[in-house]
Amino acid sequence: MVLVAAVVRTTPAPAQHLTAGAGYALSDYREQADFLHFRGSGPTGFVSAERGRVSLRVEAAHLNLDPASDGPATLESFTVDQISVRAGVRAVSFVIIEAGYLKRSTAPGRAAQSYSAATLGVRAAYPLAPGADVALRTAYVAGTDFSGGGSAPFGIELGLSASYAPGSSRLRLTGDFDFQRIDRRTDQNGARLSVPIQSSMARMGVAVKF
Amino acid sequence: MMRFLRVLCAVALALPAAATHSSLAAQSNSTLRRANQAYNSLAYAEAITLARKAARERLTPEDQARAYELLAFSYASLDSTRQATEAFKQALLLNPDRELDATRISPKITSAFALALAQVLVLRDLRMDTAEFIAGSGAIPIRFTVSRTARLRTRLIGPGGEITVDSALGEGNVRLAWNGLMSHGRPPVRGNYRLIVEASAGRDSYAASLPLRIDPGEVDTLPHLTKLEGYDLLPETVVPPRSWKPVGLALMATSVALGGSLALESSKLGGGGRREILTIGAGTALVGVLATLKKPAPVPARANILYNSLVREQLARRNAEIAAANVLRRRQVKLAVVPQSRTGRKS
Repeated sequence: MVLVAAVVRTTPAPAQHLTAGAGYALSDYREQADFLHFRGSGPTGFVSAERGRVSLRVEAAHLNLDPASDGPATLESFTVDQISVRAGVRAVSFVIIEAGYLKRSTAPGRAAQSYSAATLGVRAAYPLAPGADVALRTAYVAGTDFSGGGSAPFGIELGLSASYAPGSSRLRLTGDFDFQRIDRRTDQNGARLSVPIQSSMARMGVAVKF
Repeated sequence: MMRFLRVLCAVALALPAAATHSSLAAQSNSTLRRANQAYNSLAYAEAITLARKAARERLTPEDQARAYELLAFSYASLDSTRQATEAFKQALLLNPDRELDATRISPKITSAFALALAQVLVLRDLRMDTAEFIAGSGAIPIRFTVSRTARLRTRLIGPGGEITVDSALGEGNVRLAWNGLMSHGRPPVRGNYRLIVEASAGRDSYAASLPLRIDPGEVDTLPHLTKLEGYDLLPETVVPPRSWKPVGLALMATSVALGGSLALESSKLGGGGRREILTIGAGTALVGVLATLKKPAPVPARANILYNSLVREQLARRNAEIAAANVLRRRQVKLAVVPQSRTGRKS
């Protein structure tokens, strides 16, 4: 902790930025077994602010998920409203330590699990060129609270982001990939069942950096 | 043979008179003109009589000096060295700066002149150059020649007060310097001044003076520097050469994300459905390629930054020195000294 504090203190402070973006997302969702497989898409948006070494990012998505073609016909479609908030502190030049909160609501509720969780992870962002960045992110998903009950001793997120400014550095094309796996477990008649949840989402859009 | 030598001797003696002929011809005093004509006609006795008569008349100091000089020349031509020397002494007292051209004038005359110069106490060639200097820190030279060892007192007198520049024994060529300050320690005010040199040796004394015009003024201040000559600032950022690093990093990040997501997939939920990672992975790789083709971002050049900071530090130090020097210069006074025509007298 002392080492991190020392590193933070010696890292030069970057400028202040505000970025807002919107786009479209493709999503893949699986739950419990391979036959509960959904695919869909929907609009997304985000706002991020960076001041000094501190950053805050809020993402939201509204997805319509339909059963995948390989799934049984009895499955019904549902919508997902997802919001995540992540606050970060730049530890060294390109590494940011992030803590966040994730809430995912489905409708109808019986179609899939709604849950909320806390995340803690790191993000490594590297500028490739003026106006071009790439970032890798991973986080541990903890304290998950499911609408259908149960707990998740293990959960992990993995992310890949890229952005590119074709002309000026103000307008950017963005692409984000998020993979999430949560090992949910439930008790059923005293027996402990494993009902994992796995989702991935690809967001493509434009962002304006102020 | 004897006749030839007499003619030659007469020509040699006549030369000095010829040298001053033009100036004598311009004189209004008829007695002096006649004396000169008699000398030119080798009638030395008549020249002596007329020159003595002219010397007793009311003449200007210059004409009086010329009358004594003609008298001295005539006596020397008649081999009356003692009387020639006495006449030269009178001429020197009236015109102490007089010089004889040894290449054109008979040695008989020049030796009498040298003898007179060694016996008389005069100050010769009192000079100060036209100069500008800072009072108190600079100095202006004073030069003169004293014909005999004498106690010399050099003073400057004018509306701004008086200062004794020097008081000492001296002989021959004397060089002094005045630092531009009066006796009260301040520079003189604007005005006409007089440099007076007094020489005394036994019962003889002589004084010469040189009028001066002194104009005090402000000292020019130094301009502040905006750059050090020969030390230009270097660019603090440099554009690195184009490299494949961006595309390499993008592919590496894509590989990590793809590999990580494959590794983290739950075996219970089955595989397949890679369109999300493939879409974003392909986009990331494309961003890497575009970033590689883009002009690299400038990066700080640490050596140049250090060099520039040293140059700026040196520049600041020089400007601080200039500022301190200007504070001093604003308190200083620059004197412009212009000598006027010189006069001398015997006392």
